[in-house]
Amino acid sequence: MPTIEVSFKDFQSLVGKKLPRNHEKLWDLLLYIKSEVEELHGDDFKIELADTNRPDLWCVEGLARALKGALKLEKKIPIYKTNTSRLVLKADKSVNKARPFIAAAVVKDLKFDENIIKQLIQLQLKLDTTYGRNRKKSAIGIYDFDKIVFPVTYKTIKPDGISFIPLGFEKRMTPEDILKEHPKGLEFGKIIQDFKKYPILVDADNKVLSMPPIINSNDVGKVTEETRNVFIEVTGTNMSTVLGALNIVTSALADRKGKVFNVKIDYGRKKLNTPVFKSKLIYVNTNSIKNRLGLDLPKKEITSLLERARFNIKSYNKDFITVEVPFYRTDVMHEFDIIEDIGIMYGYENIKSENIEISTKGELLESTHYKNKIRDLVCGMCYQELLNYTRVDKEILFNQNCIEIANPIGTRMNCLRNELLPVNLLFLSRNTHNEYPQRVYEVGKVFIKEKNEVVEEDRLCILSCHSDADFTEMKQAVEWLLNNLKIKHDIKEFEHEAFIKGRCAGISFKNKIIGWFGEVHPSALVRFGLENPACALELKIEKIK
Amino acid sequence: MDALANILDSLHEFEKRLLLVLENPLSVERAVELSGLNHIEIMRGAQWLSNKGLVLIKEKKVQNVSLTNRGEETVKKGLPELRLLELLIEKNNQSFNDLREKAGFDNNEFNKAVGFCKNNGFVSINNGLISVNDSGRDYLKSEESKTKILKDLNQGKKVKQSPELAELEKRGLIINEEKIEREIITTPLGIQVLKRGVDLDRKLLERNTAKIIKSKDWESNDYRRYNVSELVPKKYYGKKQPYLEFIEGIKQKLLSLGFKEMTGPNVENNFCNCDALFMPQDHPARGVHDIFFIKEPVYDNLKEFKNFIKKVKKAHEKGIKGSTGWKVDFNTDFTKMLILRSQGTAASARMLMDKDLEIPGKYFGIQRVYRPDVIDRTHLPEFNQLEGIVLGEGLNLRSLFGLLRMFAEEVAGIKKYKLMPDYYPYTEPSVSLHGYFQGRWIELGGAGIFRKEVTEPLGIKVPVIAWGLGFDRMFMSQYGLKDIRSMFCEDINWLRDAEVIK
Repeated sequence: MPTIEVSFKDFQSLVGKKLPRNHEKLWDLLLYIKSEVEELHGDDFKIELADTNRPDLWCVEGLARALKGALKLEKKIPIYKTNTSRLVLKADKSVNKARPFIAAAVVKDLKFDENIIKQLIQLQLKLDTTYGRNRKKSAIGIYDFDKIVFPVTYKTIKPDGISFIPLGFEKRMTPEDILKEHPKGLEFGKIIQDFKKYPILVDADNKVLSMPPIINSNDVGKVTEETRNVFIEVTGTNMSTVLGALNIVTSALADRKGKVFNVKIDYGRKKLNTPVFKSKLIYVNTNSIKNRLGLDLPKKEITSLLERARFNIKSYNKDFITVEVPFYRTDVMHEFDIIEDIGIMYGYENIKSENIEISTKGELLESTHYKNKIRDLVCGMCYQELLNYTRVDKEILFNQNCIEIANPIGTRMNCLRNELLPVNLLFLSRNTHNEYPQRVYEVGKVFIKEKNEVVEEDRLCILSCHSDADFTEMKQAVEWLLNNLKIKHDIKEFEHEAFIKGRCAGISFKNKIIGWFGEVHPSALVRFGLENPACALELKIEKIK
Repeated sequence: MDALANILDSLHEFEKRLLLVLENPLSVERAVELSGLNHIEIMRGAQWLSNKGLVLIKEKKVQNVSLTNRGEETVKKGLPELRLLELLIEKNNQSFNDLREKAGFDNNEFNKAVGFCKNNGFVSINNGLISVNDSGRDYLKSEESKTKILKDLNQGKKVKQSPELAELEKRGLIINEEKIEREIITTPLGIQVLKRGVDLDRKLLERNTAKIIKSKDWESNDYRRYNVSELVPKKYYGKKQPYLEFIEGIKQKLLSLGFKEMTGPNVENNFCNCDALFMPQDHPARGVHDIFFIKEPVYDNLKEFKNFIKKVKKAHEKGIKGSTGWKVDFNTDFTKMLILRSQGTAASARMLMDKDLEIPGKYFGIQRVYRPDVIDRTHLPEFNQLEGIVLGEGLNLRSLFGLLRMFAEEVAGIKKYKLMPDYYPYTEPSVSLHGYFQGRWIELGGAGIFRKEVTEPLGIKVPVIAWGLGFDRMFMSQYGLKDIRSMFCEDINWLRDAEVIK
């Protein structure tokens, strides 16, 4: 869940109302905007956001906007105006092969301070990371507008075709250098490194603005407390994401009393003015509200709740409400998304819960039931039950034919266990300083590669380690267990790397080997650092059901 | 019965014999002499008496000198060089062979003794005859003490520490070592018991045997009383894993509430883990940093789901009636990829596609799930999730609240709880359950109604509530665990000692 850090005072002033500092009271308010108080120390306010699908709430401005509606300080969709400008951004067709989409806006008359800049950077980071899928789908660039000569051009360039000073550096670098040396180039270079030419953004004087989605230039691509007017662009691989990201940043700055101007994106044949502050219409069935929430609400109340949730109502008849959804709500795709907001504004504490009158018979899976019986039996045989990991280091397995994990954490725990015995020996290896005898068992899954398919098998392993552990002890255990389960079986000679030759037996059931037991081989004991003799059983449970 | 009588009835024969001969203080050796018991019996009796508070055992370190086998032989024959001198003093000028025969030494010893005396100038040899001189006579006199030590030791007398002992020890004739000597001292309670009368003839039954039972000895005799508070060696028996037992308890509650168990594989495919749940394929939680992928085989054949794939793909790319969908490309190879299940909801998706699905129905499953988190106090790359579904006509947000209330009260046993708006990619609305547990708010779980984009492509016409409960934190609280790793405990002692929670 994303967490954002805001100034409590700033938040309060954006909401326009004194907010309680008491944790629980504040928490109750934040519920309206699906958030929680993570920390509040002085002015430092950390908010945990539950909704990872609402990028409009990932900034203090957006949170304040939504909270104002919930607290009835404002209602309906706030009005955002875009002023017309003659600013043009030319998009060269060569970008189609690299990073095809761009949208831009200009916001003027801003009064930046340290906090507002911090908030802006935080929003940019959150949008790039999550909404923009680590800058792949969309990435935002913000510049000092007054240092740019329009028209701006978005094009591609050879890896060594231009050089500029990237943000945070002092020397000029080519795009190629940046991918090799700049930390951002190393982090995000994989997005563009396979292209023949890299995206670049230059102004009319051929001054580099940025190399999207990697890094801005050091002079124009920096916002300071002196900056009054900003140029914002978003590039990416998905047009609606690009427009969505631009809308969220622009509306946040508009909430800071900035004046928004549009930019004409010239794709050659196609031209588009951005930002597109265009709301969409969603039809909400009045029955759906009743059915989904279980609340039969009068029209007046639904209207008020929708307006508090900052939707507009275009029309309202008996069956349908035509709801206008603000442009910054990128999450709404179905009437249920709006209905949930009606419920939240109504207040969950006001909704009476209702018992579910579905009468069904509780039942365990047959396999669970059977496994429980076996666990009871083995427990009665004085073994201690274990719960081990299913991921293991390949090197501990006796049989190297196993299911490997393509992306393990580091090099350890790189495959799935194909037998239970090794993990149980591993457990004992961590307890050599504790009292013996040590008798343990586990009922669990193993994973086997069979004809290029993964087979999951329930198994039982029992393992006994002490100075007198021998074949007889294990055979007694096996006979007791199988007799109680009424498994008519034969004991056959069997070989397994983990056991001493001639002291290992296979359990044959309906002419299939369903398990094996015997005295653990000294080479296995030594490998696991065990000094006492051990005997063990491994049994396929599913095969005997 | 009074306390002294109880004590008397608890005395073993060894204890009685020992008590009866006790002088104050009494050495163990003396006790052996007086009681007719051997050393081991005395020591056991003394220990038992001491456990009962009737005697004290006082230990002191003493230097103990004893003869070796060679030393004992030497006592009989004398030290070779001294014996030689003695024989010569009796009769001077004797031949080698005569002397050796008289002395009864072997060649080697005899030669050594002659060599020693000659080198020290105690004897002189002329024409094969040996004669002793004055210094030889003096030496014999000065060495009498050594002979005496050996003789004393042989007679069981104590010898004092002296410089001669070192030489005798060096020659392998004696052992001079530190030993612990024990003395037994009767306590006032012991004296009281003695005064009451220790009766050697009173027969008490010892270890119960089949023979005793058959003989009916127990009709006429009492059993000797045991000290029931005496410590016994620890022994470990069979026991279930505490965390699994905790889960078992939750399962029982769910069964009693009418839930049926469902399951799914740990090695899952992308389709059931995410796609069928309407999580867009470019969702941030679907990359290599959030899900473990399988190296080989890479793909599942998705045979049993082939009727659903097309419909799910359409819902992702183009939406369903009334929904725009994600408008994100749906890759049919990616959906086949094998992974380690990252959420228990995968089993719910499978249940919805199962031909045996009952409508209305209530299901639960406890699933092992995997996330590539680095292991630490609060993160495990492998853990268990309890998830399920409830489906049927007429389910809505209020019934969802009812379900969470039931979980809080019936399953978690919590009175104070809170329901909060939340977000899950596959449910709308989504609600989380927070409970006030042992002085603080913890998230206990969540639930939501599956989006139409989930249920419609799977052919489900009724509302489906999806729910999940996080019981790990409750388990940790109950066991006072600070570290989540304890659930897969690697310490056998913790497992042996862990409380069995009601």
